[in-house]
This record gives sequence, C-alpha cells and structure tokens, in this order.
Amino acid sequence: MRRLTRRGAVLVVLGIAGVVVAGAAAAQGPFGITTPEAGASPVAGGLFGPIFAQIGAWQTQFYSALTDALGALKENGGAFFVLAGVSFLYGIFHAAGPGHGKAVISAYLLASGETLRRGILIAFASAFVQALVAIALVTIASGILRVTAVTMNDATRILEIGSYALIVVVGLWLLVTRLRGPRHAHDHDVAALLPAGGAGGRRLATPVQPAGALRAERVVLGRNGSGKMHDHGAATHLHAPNPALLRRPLTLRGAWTAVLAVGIRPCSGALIVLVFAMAQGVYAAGIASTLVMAVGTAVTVALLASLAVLARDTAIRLTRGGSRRVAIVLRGVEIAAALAVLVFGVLLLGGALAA
Amino acid sequence: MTRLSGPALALAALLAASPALAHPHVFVTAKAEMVFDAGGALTAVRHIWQFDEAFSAYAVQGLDANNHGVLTRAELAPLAQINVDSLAEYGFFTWLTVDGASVDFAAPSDYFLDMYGGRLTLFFTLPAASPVTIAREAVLDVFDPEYFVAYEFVTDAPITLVDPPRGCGALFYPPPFLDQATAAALAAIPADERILPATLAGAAADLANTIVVTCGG
Repeated sequence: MRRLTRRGAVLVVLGIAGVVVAGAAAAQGPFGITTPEAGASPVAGGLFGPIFAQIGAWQTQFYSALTDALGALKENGGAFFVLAGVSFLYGIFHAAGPGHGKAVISAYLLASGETLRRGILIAFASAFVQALVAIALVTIASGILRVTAVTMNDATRILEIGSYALIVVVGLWLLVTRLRGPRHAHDHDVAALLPAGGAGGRRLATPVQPAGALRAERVVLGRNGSGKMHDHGAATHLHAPNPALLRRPLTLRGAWTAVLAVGIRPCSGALIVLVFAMAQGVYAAGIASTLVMAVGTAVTVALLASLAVLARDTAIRLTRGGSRRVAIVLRGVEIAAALAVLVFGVLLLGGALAA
Repeated sequence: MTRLSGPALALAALLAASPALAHPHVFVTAKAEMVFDAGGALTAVRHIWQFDEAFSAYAVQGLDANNHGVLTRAELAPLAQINVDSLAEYGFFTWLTVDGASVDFAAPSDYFLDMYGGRLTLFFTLPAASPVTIAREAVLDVFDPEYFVAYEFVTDAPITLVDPPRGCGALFYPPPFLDQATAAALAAIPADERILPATLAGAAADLANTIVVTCGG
C-alpha cells in the first residue's frame, strides 16, 4: 500500500507539472483558424537537429508538390498518379512530426503487451480513423454547412479534447490494471521467447480476458473490491501463451478505445488539403489523397511502434535468470509505458483545456 | 533494476525524439519593412505575409458572404482581426533587438487581408512600444519556432528600410537549413560574428529569417 501511495504522489506531481507546462502553449493556432498538433516543440538543435530540419524540408517539398498536383488535376487527369505518389510520401514524412499518436500508440502497445502483428494493425486502424474523421468533418462542415474556418477550428478543438480525454482514460485503465497485478487482460507472444521449462509459476488457465477497455476495467475493479492487492506472486507468475489465441483472426478486439483516442483528432494538414481540393472542384481526388496519405502515415507509425515492441521483446529475450526476472522486467516495462500514456494524456488535455 | 535500463532507454529515446520533429501546415511568403521617423528612430515593423494556396482556400471558406466569387477586403476584415488577435499569443513571430536590447511592440495597427491570385495576403504594422535609435545595429528575426508556419522571404527585396537615417543598411540571412550553400557559408563564419540575439542563438536559429540593419558603420 505504501508503494501505491508513493506512486500516486508521483503521478499527481507529474500531472500538475504537465498541466502547467502544457498550459503555457496556445492552442487556438497562430492565425486563429488552424491549430498545431500538440507536442510541437522547437525544432531541435542538438544531435538530431539536422535530421529534423531535413525531414521538415522534405515535408515542405512534398506538400507543395501535393497541392500543385491537386491544382493540376483540373486540366490533366494524369496528375492523379502524381498526386497518389506524392500523398503517400508526404504521409510517411508527415507522420514523423508531432501528433498522429506515435508516442501514445507505442506506449499503449508496450503497456498492454500487444503482439507485433496487432501493433501494426492498431497503427493502421488509427491512421485510417484519423483520415475518415477528417473526410467526414470536411464533407459535412465545408461541403454541406459551408462553415467558416473559425467554426471548423472549433469543431477540431472539440474532437481534440475528446481525443485527449480518451488518452487519459486509456492511460488510467492501463495503469490501474498493471498496478493491480500481473494478471493481464491481453495475450502476447513474448511468452514464446521464454526459456523452455521456465520455473513452475502458476499458470492461468485463461490468461486472457477478451474485453474492451471499459469492460476489462470493471472486471479488475470487481475482482479487488476488498481493496487488498490481488497478488498471485508477480515473481513466479508466468505468461503462458494460449495457442488458440495465436491462431485467432487478427482483429482490433480490445484496442478500439486506443484507436479512437488517437484517431478522432483530425490532422490539420488533411483538413487543409480537403478544403483546398473542394475549392478547386476536385474533392474526390482530395479524399483519395487523404486516404493514400493515411497509408503513408500508418507505415511510419507502425514502424516506430514495431521498434518499441521489438525492443521490449529483445529485452525479454536477453534477460537471464529465468521467468522470475522476465516477469519483473515485463511488468516494469508495462507499468512505465502505462504511466507514459497517462502522462501524455494529462499533458495534452491540460494544454488543450488551458487554451 | 539495471536490467530495465535497456528497454527503458530505448523507449525514452523513441518518445522523446518523436514530438520534436517539424510539422509545417502553413506556408508564408514574406517581406518586411522597417519604418523610421524624421529623427531617424525606428518606429515600426511592417509585415506582408502571403499564404500558400491551400491554406488560403481553407482560411476563406464560408466567407464569401455575397457569393459573387470575389473576396473583398471588407469580407476578409473579421478574419484579419482573428489573425492579429491570435498572432499576439505567438509574439507575431517577430523578434527585434536594437544594440542588443530586445524591443517590445505595441498592438498591431493598419491590418487587413487581400486576395492576390488565389493567395490570401496579410498586411500589418507592428509599432515599437517607443521609437528606438539604432546606434550600431538592429536584428529582426521572423520565424515560428514550432515550425507550424514555415516562413520564406522573397528573394527580391526581402527587406525595405523606409526613411532610414543616412548610413544605415540592411542584410537578409535566410534560415540556414533552407539553403545548403547559405548554411555552409554561415557555418564558415566564426560563431561570435554570427549576429543573433542571445535568446535565439540556440536551436531555433535554424529556422530564423534574420535581417540585420547596421547603422553608422
């Protein structure tokens, strides 16, 4: 219990610091009609400064090629292929910038112990949800209601606050379930990497509770109604893979909350490109461009998320000392990552609400 | 606990690196004027910022009140107001030092928007809080440190001095990363000769459009 209290105190301090720091940032955007993705910070100097600057320069080139191609479509249908290619490349480089949930998705995957395959699926799903939200918003707000950019920005801000609140919810849920004990509501193939014949930890007959985030939360809370830590020995508990699970079809089961949390805040770039395409009378091409851009974005996010998952799996594989150590390492990674998701959420939400 | 450091470091590096990347969504072609009074003191900075076509289309959606396909200065006036109000929170992306001391600006005046060839163009004047005489040099930086807005100055007359005192001249330095040749040239200059305000001399200098006005040389 003392450990929990100390963690709680650390959390509160982090949260307050986050709100203060993020609150200093203005979220209405410099021209009052389009808002930078949160998390933007000075383009580095430092070790990686030149790389960031180069990525920024590429983005700028692809973006201007993209808008040129949209403009050219009016006279020349062949420009569509240029548009598709440029949109894809722009998506790849663009996702390297702030937003698009790279950090949140990566941390979510670590905290929930997802497999590599599901990690990639979740990255793609969130990129497509984000594209579809942008398309729906522009179609309704610009196409049908003919709103001004100010109204569009207000709508974006509401979606943004919803997105950040959901990230807080996901972070809290992850943290609560990780702290409650090692009985995870997930499956992962890390266990396959464990030394054969690991120590005789207690194997759970049903290590997986296939449940959405909120359902799983209720399960956990119900189980520990007494307030006493439910602990069946983190040290000896072994994650046994359930072979049936590994053969299950690949679905988003349980990850929808995280996908929505990242996806419902539309990217400013997609909104601008869509409205521009509509003004040019080539809206269908704008929609196509946005979807292709999402493929590029998904590739980048999936790549970074995969790196996180692979780093974890490698750490597990390299951990010597048997299943006891593995369990400790795994649990440490999961708690740290869950905390990271929560801190991101609080920072982002604090910044958005303070503006 | 040491066994945790590997993955923890990897995770930290990944998460720390990602938010620092650049992400421009608004592209501005800019030029600036520096205005002097009869006594030779610098009184104001005037900006002309032309937005890219896509952002222009986004910004003016729903504003063509009489629906005749042409946006007048009057139809754009509310947007101009929102622009300057919002820019205030960002210090108008304008930083001025005179002889090493930073200069504060009063509220912007004479601001309006016009459309030129499908590109929205913002004009505004930033008066110095009080007129300031340049003894040696003034340094004007225009850029968005978060790189949400990418500023590029025109090559033809990026800076104009209006009624400057005798002996004052201006030089324009583009952001080093935009132009590899320029970057190389600037890198060759000893660091202490690179004239930048101390607050900007660090990371963000990569993005700054810098105008140096030298007087009484």
